[in-house]
Amino acid sequence: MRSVTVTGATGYVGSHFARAARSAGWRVVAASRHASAHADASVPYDLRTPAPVLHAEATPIVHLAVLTDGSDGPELEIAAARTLLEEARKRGTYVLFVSSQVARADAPTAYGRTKHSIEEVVLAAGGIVVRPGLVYGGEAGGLYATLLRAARRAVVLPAIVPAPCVQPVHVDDLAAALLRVLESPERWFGRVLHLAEPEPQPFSAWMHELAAAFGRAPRRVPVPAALVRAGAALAAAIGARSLADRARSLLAIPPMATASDLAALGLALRSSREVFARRAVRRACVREGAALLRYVLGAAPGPALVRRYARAIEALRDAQPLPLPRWGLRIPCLLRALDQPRLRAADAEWQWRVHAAAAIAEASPQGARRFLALAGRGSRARRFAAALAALPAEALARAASLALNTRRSRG
Amino acid sequence: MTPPDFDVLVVGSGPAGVAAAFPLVEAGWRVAMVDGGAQPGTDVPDGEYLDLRATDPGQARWLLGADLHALRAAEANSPKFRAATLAFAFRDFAAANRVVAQRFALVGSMAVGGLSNAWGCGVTRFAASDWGDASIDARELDAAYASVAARVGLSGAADDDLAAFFGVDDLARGAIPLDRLHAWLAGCYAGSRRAAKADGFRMGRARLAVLAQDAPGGRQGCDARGLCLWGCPRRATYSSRHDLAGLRRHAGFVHLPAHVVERLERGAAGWLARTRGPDGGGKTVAARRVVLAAGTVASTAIAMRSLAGFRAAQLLHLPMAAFALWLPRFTGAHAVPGPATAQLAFTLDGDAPQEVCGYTFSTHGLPMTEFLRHAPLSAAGAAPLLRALLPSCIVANCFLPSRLTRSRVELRDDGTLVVTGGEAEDAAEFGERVRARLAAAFAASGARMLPGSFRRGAAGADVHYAGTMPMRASPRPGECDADGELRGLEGVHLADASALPTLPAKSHTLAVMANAHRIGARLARRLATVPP
Ligand SMILES: Cc1cc2nc3c(=O)[nH]c(=O)nc-3n(C[C@H](O)[C@H](O)[C@H](O)COP(=O)(O)OP(=O)(O)OC[C@H]3O[C@@H](n4cnc5c(N)ncnc54)[C@H](O)[C@@H]3O)c2cc1C
Repeated sequence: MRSVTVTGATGYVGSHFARAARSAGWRVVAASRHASAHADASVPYDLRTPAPVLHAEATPIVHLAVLTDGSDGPELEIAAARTLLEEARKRGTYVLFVSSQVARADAPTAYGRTKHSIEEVVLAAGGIVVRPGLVYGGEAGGLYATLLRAARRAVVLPAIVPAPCVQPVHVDDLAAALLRVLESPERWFGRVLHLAEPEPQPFSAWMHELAAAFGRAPRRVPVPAALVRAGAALAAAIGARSLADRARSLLAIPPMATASDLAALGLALRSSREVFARRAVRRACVREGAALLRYVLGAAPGPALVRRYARAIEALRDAQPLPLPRWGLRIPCLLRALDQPRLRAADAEWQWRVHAAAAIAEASPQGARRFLALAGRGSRARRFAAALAALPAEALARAASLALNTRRSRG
Repeated sequence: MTPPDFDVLVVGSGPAGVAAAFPLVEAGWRVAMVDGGAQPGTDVPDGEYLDLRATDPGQARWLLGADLHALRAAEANSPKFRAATLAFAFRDFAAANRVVAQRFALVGSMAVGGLSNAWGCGVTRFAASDWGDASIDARELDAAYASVAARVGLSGAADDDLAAFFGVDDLARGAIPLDRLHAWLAGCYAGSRRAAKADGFRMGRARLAVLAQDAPGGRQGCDARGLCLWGCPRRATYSSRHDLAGLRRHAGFVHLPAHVVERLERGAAGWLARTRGPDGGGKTVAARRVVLAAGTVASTAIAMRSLAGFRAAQLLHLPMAAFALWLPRFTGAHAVPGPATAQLAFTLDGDAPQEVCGYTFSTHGLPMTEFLRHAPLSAAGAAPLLRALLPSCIVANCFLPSRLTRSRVELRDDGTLVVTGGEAEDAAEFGERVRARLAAAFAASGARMLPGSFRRGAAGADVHYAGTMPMRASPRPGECDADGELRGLEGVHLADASALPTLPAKSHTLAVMANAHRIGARLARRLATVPP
């Protein structure tokens, strides 16, 4: 069985890579501070005390570990890389170092300069360097987690002018690319691979799509780049170094030509725009399902039911959420006014959705309690009472639906 | 000249094909049976329906299906077509047989066992007049009924007003106990039957191809677990799929699942069928004679493609209606486990005696959503109402005379069979009269027809298709003789309902099986008299 050693296997890219490698039939040895749930075996590894990765097998080493707080200076990381390279040499294998798009000798940030120094060492030893663009997707981690948090919280998003550009790469695509490299490493020894969507996109637009994928629509406020630089300096001054570094490196991202490397790997990357758009749709389907299921059940639906509803809309209705009124999504019992026979009959799609929600809701113990007169659950009198109690609300809803109907026919 | 591989090729493993095959293999003939090959994908759960509904966290698997089959089939005509466990029985039929339907709810099967995987198990013996002028030997037919019944296992015999109509009590065991609603309804009818009969309404037990007791061979008797809609895990309800094991015990029998026949060609000493096999492969099956039992529509398509000049025919079927009855005294009661097969049956005299026939079912073995969608209320309003109401309700279907239909089949130049639904001008009016009379008849037995619940089904929804190539005393091309042998395609015999000369409003499958058995037995004798 093919094996691979992964440093930083519990990190953002590391955990996704480990999972992908295992499902592609690799045996994964995690070299990290904490044991990895996604590896077949774990060996302790710490960048600060780079004792050799002690295990007997001669496996390639995918080097993902980084020091995140940047307080220890570059020497430690470079030394760690040297140790790994030495180890690989002794065992007759190689190191695949995952660097960054911002790696440059004259990078404005220590982060970029450190990456560059390590690249030099790795390439000199005949290893392989991979420079990913802005990694996103999957279970949030790393810089993506920070950006996601910002996108989900922000009421406004700065649109920096002139617009810095990013080249995203989905974390699973990156993992797939690394696996391709591992499959025929000879082609890449001593070389740098660039992995990201070929087209650079304005960072703020990307952030906006990310926010939309999570149901947010923050306003865009133009901010001059100079201001960001000043802000970063300020952040650095008050000690938020890594944040400051990241902001500065963002503004200094050089565009990266990736098309030829992607072609050489035979890899087509998913587009972040599509990934985010799909997620936005899924979210809308989930919201619709949560509201409709709550409406038919008269109680909060279990999460499995909501997922099933969203899946039904994706699989059977072309993933098209319905444009339900906001009040209906907020207070689902009000949907009863729309779910009156006249309105329902006039809108086959709406009728289908109500039916689907009812069928999905019913197919669960929770739904069975709502829909079936099960023995031992409520007395005959209670069922009578519940049936009668439903009628006044129905009358109200009927009246409301008539009002809606006339408004519609006038409009 | 090489002799054919088989004496008989049977196309189809539904009730008709299996019934025709038994006498042939028992006589030692080499029989090949082909079919569409579809097998169940989703298991029927093990347990009692209401208990499973209350406790099974995975019930969506069989209620909806992993692929959400129930929602995909949301518009289909019967809850059966939405049951995920039965999806295999209906899948791919039209495409595989190159049939298109216009104004017709076409149902057919490419499954091992055909539609008997999903049928309602209602059985009737045809009256002598139902066989038209085809000169069928009554003794042979009776013997065939007896052997088929012994294999299938019938229940429901009762000394009631429908004993003569069903005509199977000499072959059937007693009935599965009625649930309390039906027991009450039957009791009320008993009190008012004299008046009811005077109005042309009769009620009695449903006669079913359902085992009342365990049988040798592993099929178990009905224990009223209420899962009939999904397919009985005890195999109490008859499916010809389970009869293949019995056929395979005979050395001369070969089952070729997933071999689809498109047309028949004349071979050196009989017939050739070039099948479309699994994964694009196929076989050429050579046989001295062929028994067509692919279901009326598929058999007709095969026959028309094989017989030049035979391009169009009538298609008999039974217009259908469904309605709900309310037994007010049970309102608010909780649901009680019980059988979900037909429990009672009724007939109504029209222009002819017992021209309309129907069955009543409990509502408990059906998802409530089946009713919710028809309620004239919002879903949120209807749910508590139906919960209180449904356990006091019974649902019924009824079959109207086939003379009200005007449906046809026609072969296009490209070999596609077009089924076009049609009905007589007075069909709607007839349906309305039936509704009113049934409402009155049930009211006299203490059950109210729920207003608005009586609905006529789409043409074809009855799935009693027949009569495209009827047996006649003197058949013309495209018709067959009493051996089911098709004029123009000598050596090709029709064993399914396509050969029925008339289609009374009765469950016809048992009669089709008896006829198929009779034809198989006659073929077994004829093969012996003619050297291969
Ligand atoms: C929901 C439902 C309820 C029903 N209830 C009743 C009832 O209560 N009482 C009653 O009498 N009847 C009932 N029926 C009708 C009954 O199921 C059919 O009459 C009966 O199954 C017909 O049997 P058959 O063998 O002729 O055809 P089918 O059962 O249709 O079998 C056809 C066989 O042919 C095979 N096949 C099809 N096309 C080809 C081809 N081109 N090449 C090779 N093989 C092919 C199929 O795989 C299958 O094995 C019901 C039907 C349905 C759908």
